[in-house]
Amino acid sequence: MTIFERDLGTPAMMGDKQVSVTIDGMPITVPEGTSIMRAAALLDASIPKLCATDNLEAFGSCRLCLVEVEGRPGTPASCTTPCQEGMVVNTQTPRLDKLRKGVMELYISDHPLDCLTCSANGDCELQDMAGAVGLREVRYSDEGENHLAASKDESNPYFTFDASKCIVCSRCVRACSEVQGTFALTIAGRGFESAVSTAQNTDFLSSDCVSCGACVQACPTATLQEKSVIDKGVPSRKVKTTCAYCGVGCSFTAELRGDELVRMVPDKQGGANAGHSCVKGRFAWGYANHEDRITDPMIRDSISDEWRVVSWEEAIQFAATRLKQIQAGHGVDAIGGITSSRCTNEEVYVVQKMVRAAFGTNNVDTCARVCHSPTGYGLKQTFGTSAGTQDFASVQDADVILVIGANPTDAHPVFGSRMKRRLREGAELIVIDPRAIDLVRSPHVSAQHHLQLRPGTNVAVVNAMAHVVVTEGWVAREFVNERCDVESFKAWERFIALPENSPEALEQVTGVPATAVRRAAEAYAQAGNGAIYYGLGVTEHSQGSTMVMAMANLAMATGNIGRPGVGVNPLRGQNNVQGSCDMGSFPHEFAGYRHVSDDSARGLFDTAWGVSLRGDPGMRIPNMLDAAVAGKFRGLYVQGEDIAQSDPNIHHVEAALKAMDCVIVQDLFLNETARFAHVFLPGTSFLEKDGTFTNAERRINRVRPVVPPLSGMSEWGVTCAISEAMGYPMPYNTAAEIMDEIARLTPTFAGVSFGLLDEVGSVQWPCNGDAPLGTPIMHEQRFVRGEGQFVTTPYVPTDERSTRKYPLLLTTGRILSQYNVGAQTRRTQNTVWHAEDILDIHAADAEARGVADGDWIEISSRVGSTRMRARLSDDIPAGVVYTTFHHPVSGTNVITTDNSDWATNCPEYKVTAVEVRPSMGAGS
Amino acid sequence: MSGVVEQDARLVVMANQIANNVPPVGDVSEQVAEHLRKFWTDAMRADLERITEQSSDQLREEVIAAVALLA
Repeated sequence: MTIFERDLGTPAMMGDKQVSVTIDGMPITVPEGTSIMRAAALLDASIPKLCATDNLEAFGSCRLCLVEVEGRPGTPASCTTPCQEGMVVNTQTPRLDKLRKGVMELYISDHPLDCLTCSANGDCELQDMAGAVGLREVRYSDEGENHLAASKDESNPYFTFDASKCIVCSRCVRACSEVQGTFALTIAGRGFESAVSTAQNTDFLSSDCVSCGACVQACPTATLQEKSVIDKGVPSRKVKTTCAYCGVGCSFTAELRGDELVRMVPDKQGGANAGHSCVKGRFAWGYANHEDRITDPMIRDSISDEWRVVSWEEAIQFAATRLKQIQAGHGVDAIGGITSSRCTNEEVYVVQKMVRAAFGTNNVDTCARVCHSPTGYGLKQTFGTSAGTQDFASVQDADVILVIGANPTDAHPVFGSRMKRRLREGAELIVIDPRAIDLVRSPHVSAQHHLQLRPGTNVAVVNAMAHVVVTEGWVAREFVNERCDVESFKAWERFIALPENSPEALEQVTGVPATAVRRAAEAYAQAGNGAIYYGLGVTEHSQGSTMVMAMANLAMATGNIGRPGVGVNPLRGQNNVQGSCDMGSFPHEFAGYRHVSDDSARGLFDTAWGVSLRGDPGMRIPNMLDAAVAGKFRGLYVQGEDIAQSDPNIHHVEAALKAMDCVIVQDLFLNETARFAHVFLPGTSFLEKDGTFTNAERRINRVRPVVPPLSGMSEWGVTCAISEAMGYPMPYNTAAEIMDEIARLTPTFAGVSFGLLDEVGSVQWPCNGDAPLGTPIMHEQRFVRGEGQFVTTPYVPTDERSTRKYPLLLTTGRILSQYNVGAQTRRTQNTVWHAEDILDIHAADAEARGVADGDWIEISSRVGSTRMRARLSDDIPAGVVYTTFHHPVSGTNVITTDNSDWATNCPEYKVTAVEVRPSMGAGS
Repeated sequence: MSGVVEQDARLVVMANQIANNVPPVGDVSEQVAEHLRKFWTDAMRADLERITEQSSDQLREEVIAAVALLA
């Protein structure tokens, strides 16, 4: 439990009706339902408490927060007693003092009296409360029955559970249930035997615990405590910053002793996470100081040479000279760059600026190419801009939640918890996914509809749902007529009503029973508020862009756009996917999604940057790789992306990298791509960055430097140095100056500055004169493009089909404890949960191939093969296999193909025809 | 397969895929041409034009018509 945050004891009430009470002689007016404890805390008349904390519902068990209410008998608990009009409350009386001291004495009588040597000394609510009630002695000896010899569970790599220090306040149990929604903890036993236990009475590591840290955060004693605090001591200073893992973009307080990070604590004021966290953001930050970090620049003439450590000046000159030589010999378009969704907006912006202004080409792309580029295309076509429509809080108003091709509890866990809370409150859930993801069935959450479609048939399923909406007469005519382009709607309506789009006609294609589609369509269309959340299971298909537009059509047709509880929401994979796209990383767009051929937009940048920019689009990543193999593209600057592991058809990627004369890798580690690099420029971890990230809800959050860059240079500073060496200086003094330029040139960012973010915490773009504090929900009055555009979306089967030779369909994904290619999480203790990629295979498919659970298998596609262990799973249907891509040793992307989305070239990671055979082992 | 041949093959696949997926509303060739203008480099469009002249049988007719519109 951190002692730094103000805790009001019980959650805020949101009702409009107000009540006025008097507490200790002070008047206060609060929303009806507000507890006496919270009202008192708002008056700074804090009442002693142990079992209460303001992110959990009041529980009323510790009996420390007793108060007196004039005209009422007894001493009710202030946490469970709501304020009522005219109530007069006294929180400090001799009677209350005596009662509280007595309660506290009983707690302390069964608690180790080792405060001075306790790891929570100075950071313990029990200690604080003993002081607050004036406890000076304990009359009960430790000779009676007690729990002081209870054992300690140290199985979790990040925190301990010391039962001897537990006061059984249930905060951990309630945090696991209410905040995280995992229900991994319980109170076992009765009376004096009552004790916190995992639900299966196992150790923490073996339990259902997902190590989100909510229980540790909630614990008022040293019972549940971070091992890093036990090892290093209680932190002495703090810096607010933003997590660098997934697209939820959680706000954290980095707590340090000197320059040593002790722990990351989720920020209650964080707009995205409201005080919650997951195992990655909370605990898996050890990679930042891992021994594999490279902190000196290195160069080599050839990729067969050894690396040579050099000065920054030499590395930068070497890189610039090589790039200029390539352009002199092979043309200005023979080089390019790739920006990273793990880097800040400011770092990304200067890379794309360097490519366009210093390199003189639009050959800049971003790793969003391989994840959410179809979102950019599809939402721009239909709504007018490339962004999710809602803030995360919107899910609390959803009546029906439609999750398509996403696995929020694993890939976006903090939002997943928020979603599960709404589902527990009664929202209906539709899951469209080949896999039975956790949301389909987990404690207190069960999907009413699971459309377990065949991989590659997303568009067919959503078209079928839309067919039902149209033919059953469930179109929101008023919304369509007022808000949408009616001609495009009519064309779409005619198309979607065709019999070939009916659930019955498509049942054979999708594998989803027509009745199930019809029920799901009715649930969504008749919901009141229907909200769509989707992930890479939508975008990473040959029809990824078509599918995004199909979902947008469905949302518009049912009027589910432009208010809380609805919308079309991409769950972005990496922390700054949204931002890297916003910053002009795509080869056809400047910052703010303006096409390079737009003379007006280009003129702005020409003037601001003092160069004549190109108006023709540059190459996308796959175009660059194809051109490299053809000998036409020979130099690449790669910022924080490992394309030799993350991109599909690795053999092709490696051939392209080998064919280049200059590959520059800017990263924390010598990643797989660095094997083909000539220049290695050490990057900065999120703890060393100064800038901003933009999360999946368009929220711009500050990333503040917690420690100085280990390499001695900021990443944007390195990019600027290369640009200057190429002949185009970019003389910024601070990251704030870069954001100021972004704001000047990007209408949706016009009001954004570090000053504003430091003042208000975060804002969601558009943030400008029309919306000075940002825009939580888009398209409320009108679409960004004016009228919503319906797009006709015929289902076109992928060319990647199962055959006699490759009869199974492989789909890939992520798990909770690992992140992307694992460069960060593999260098943390998260490997205890996932040390290798595993192939999930249905028992029937396994039996037919002689494969048993845990066996090594070889998995082959038409482009390659690899080996890993198999796990029998009924989460997937027969005919489908599933694995992750977190480990380079298994090289999952050796087998994925270069099939891609028709509009954006986003790889079709989610469908690869494969065969699986028993294998003797990893190296056989 | 040489790198150039491999790149040509990719362009053919991509162009045909675009023609097969743009909304079948209005002039598909014009939509394909517009897509190529907005998202393909000048060099890629020039390569596609060369491929069209050399071996148009690999390409859908909408792509061939789109290339003509680009000229």
